Amino acid sequence: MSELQGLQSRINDFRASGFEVIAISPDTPQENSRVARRLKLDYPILSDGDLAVTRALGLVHEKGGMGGHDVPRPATFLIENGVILWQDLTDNWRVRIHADDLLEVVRRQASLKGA
Amino acid sequence: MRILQWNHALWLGPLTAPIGFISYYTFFAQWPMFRDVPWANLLILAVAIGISVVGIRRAWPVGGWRRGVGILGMFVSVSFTLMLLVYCFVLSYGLPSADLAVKQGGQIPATTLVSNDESDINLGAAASDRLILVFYRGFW
Repeated sequence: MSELQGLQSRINDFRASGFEVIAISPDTPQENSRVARRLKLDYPILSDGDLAVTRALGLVHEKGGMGGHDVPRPATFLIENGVILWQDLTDNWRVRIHADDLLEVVRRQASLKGA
Repeated sequence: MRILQWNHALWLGPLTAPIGFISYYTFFAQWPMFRDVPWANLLILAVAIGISVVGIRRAWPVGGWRRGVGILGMFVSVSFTLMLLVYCFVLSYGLPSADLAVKQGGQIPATTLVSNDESDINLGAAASDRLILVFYRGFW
C-alpha cells in the first residue's frame, strides 16, 4: 500500500479526530487526477507545479526528481488554525510515516487540544 | 558423465539478481513493510548469489569457459545486490537538511492551488481548521 493509499485507509479515523487530509504534489492536476482515481482517494491532491508552497515551507529537494527536476522532500504536517502543530520530515525519501503511526499522533494532538 | 549435464545454476543466478533488484521498484516498494527495509529483495538477491556460488562450484572442476561464465554470473549477482544496498542505505538519505524546513509553530502560506478535480483550493482556508498536509513527490 503506497503512502497515499495508506492515508486513504485511515481517512475516517483522521476525520473522526477532526483532521482533513490534503496532499500536495509537483505534478499537474491531470496527473494527480489519474493518481487519485487509480488509488481511489477521496481527499484532494493539489498541484504545486511551480513549487511556490513547497519553497515557502523550505521543502525543495533540488534536482531530486527522476528527471533531475526539483521536487518536494517527503513531509507530513499537522496543522490547526494555519499553524503547524507537528511535522515529520523523513531523512530518507523511501521511508515515509505509516498511516497508523500518523493516526496515533493525530489522536494525541486531538486529545491535547480537546475534541 | 557430469560434464555433459547442463549447469543451470550458472545462468540462473545472474538471471535472478536483476529480478531481485528491479522488483523493489516495480512491486515491493508499494508496501511499507517491504519498502522501509528491502528485506524481501535482499532475500532474493541472497538467493541469486547462492545460486551463483553453486554454479561456480559445479563449473570449476569442469574448467574452461564455464569458469569464466561462473565468475561473470557472480559479478552480476553481487553488482545488483550492491546497487540496491547503495540506493536504499546511501542515496535515499540524500535529502536536503531538515533545518531548512518550516516547523512546529510556523505558518502555512495562504496560497491557492488547483486540485485534481480542477477546483481551486485555498490552503489558508483549508488549514483554518485541522488539517493533515502531505507533500508527495510521486512514485510510491
